[in-house]
Amino acid sequence: MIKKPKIIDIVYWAIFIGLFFLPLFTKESYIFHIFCLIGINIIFACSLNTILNIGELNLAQTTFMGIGAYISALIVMRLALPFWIAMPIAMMVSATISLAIGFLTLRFKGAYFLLFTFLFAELVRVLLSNFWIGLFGGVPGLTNIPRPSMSIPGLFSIKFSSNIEFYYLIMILVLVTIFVMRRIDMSRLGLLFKAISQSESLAESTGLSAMKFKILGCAIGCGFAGLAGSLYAHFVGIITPHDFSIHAVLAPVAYVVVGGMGSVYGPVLGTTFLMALSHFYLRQFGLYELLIYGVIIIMIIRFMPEGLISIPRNVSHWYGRLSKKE
Amino acid sequence: MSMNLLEVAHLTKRFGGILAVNDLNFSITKGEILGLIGPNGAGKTTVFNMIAGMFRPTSGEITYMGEKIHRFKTSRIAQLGIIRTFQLTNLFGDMTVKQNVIVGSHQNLGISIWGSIFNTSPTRSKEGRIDKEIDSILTFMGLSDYYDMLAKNLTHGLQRRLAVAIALAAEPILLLLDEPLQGMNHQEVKEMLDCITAIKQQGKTILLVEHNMKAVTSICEKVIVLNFGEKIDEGSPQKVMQNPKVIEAYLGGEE
Repeated sequence: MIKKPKIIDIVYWAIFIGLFFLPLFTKESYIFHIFCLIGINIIFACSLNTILNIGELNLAQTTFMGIGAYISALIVMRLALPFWIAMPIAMMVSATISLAIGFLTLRFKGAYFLLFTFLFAELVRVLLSNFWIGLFGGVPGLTNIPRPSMSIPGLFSIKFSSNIEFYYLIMILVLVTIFVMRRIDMSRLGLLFKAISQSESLAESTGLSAMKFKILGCAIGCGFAGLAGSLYAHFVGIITPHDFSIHAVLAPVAYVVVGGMGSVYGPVLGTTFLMALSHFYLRQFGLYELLIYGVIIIMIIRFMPEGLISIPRNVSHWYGRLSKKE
Repeated sequence: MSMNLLEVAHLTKRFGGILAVNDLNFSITKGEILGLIGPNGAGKTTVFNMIAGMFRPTSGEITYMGEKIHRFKTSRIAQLGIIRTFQLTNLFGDMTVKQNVIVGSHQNLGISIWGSIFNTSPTRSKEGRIDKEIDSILTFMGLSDYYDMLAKNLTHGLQRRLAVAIALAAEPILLLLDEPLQGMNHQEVKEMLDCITAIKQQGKTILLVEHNMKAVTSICEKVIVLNFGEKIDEGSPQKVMQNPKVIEAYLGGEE
C-alpha cells in the first residue's frame, strides 16, 4: 500500500533543503553554533518524546545523554578509537543500561517512576563527580574532547573542526533520527506504544506484555539520548556531571510540551522555536530574558494545550467557523 | 473430564476481612455459553478478574486445558486464549475503530522493530493478511461504517460492540464477557445477543456475567448463581429461577 505524502512531510523536506543551503548566505560561526545545539536538542527531545509516548516521564533522560557523552568521549580519548566507532557504542551502552533500569523501574507508574528515575539521575551525577576521578575527571569533568574527523586516504578528508562542517554532520543525524521516529510512529509498533499509554489494562487483556513494550520504548529513547550526548561531547568539547543533572531535563520537557507531545514533528518544532527564540531574539532583554521566556511558554501551554503543532489545524478550524457565520 | 476447558476448584479470594469469593467450584465445557449471575456485590467480577489474571486467588486453583494458570500474568493468560472484556467501557479512546482492533490482533502480528522501521516485505504481507481479518471482524460486529472514527466518539452501544471486536481480534478460545449489555437500549441488546450467539456458533466458549435475566435465559444453556461469594445454585436458567434460595437472593429475604 502506497501512502500519500502528507503536507507536513513536504514542508519538512522543504525546510531541510533550505537549511542545507544556509551556508551560502551566511558564514557567521555563532549562527551555526546555535543551529548545532538546536540539532542536538532536537535529537534529545525526540528521544524524550518516545518515552512520553508510552505514558511515562523519565527524569533521568539527561543522565542517559550523559552516559552517551562520557562513553563516547572516553572511548575517543583513552582508547584512541575514532568517533565513528565511539558514537554507536555510546548509543548501545545507553540503551543497554536503560534496559536494566527500565526492568527495575518501569513496574512503577506515575510519581513512583519519576522518583526512581530522579534517584538514578542523582546517583549517576554523584558517581561521576566523586568516584574514579582519574577516569571521569570529577566535578570539572572532561575537557579537550576532540572533534571527529573522517578521511579516506587519497580521496578526501574532513575534519569537523568548524561549526559549518559540524552543522552538516548534525543535520544528517537529525534526519536519521526523525526518519526512525516517524517510521516507528507510523508502524504497528508505534500503535502498540500508544495503546499502552491509553489503556494498559485493555492492552494487557489482549495479550500484550505492557512491561516488555515499555522497556523496548525506553531503550529506543535512551539510545537516541546517547546519540545526542555523544554529539554534544564532541561538539562542545567539555562535559561536566552538572551538564547532565536533573535540571537539564526540564528545558527539553518544555520543548516537547510546547511543540506538541505525541507527534514526531511536535518536539522538533518546539525545540527549534524555543531555542531560536531564546538565542537569537530574547538575548537583547538581558535580565528579563528568562522572565519573558517563561511567560511565552506559559501562554503557549495555556492557549495551545496540544502544542505548536496544532496551529494549522486550529487555524483551519477557526477559518471554517468564520466562513460559516457569514 | 477432558471436555472441560476451564476448571475452577476451591477458589477463594479475601480482601482484608471481606470474603469476596468463598470456595467456588465450577467448570466450563468447550463450546458452551455459561452465565454467571447474582446480585450486586456477589463476587462475579472478582471471579472474572481471577480467571483473567488481574487478581491472584487467596487459595484454590484455576485449570485451563490441563494447565494451572492462577499464578500467571494477565498478558500470559491472554496469550493462552482467555480474553476478557470490561464491565466499564475500556477502549483506546484516541485511536480509530480500526486501530483499536489492530491492537487487539497484535498477538498474531509478530512485530519486529526492524520490520517496522524499514517496512520490509514480510511485515507488509503480514499486515495485509491481518487487515483482511480485521475487516471481517468489524463487519461481523456491525462496525464496518465506522472504520476511521475515533473510539471515544462512538455511541455507547457501538463502544460496547467495539470492545467485543477487540477481544475477538485477539483470537479467544474462551471469551469472558463482563456485562456486555450494560446500559444498552432494547434494540442494542437484541443486536448484541445476536452477535454473542454467532460467536458461539464459531466454536468459541463464552463465560458471561450479566444482570439482564431475560437475556441470560435466552442465550445461556447453563448458569451459576453467586450470592455473597458462594455458589447457591447451578443448572439451566429455567430450573435455577425456580429455586427459592435464588429468588430470595434476588428479591431479598423475608426477615
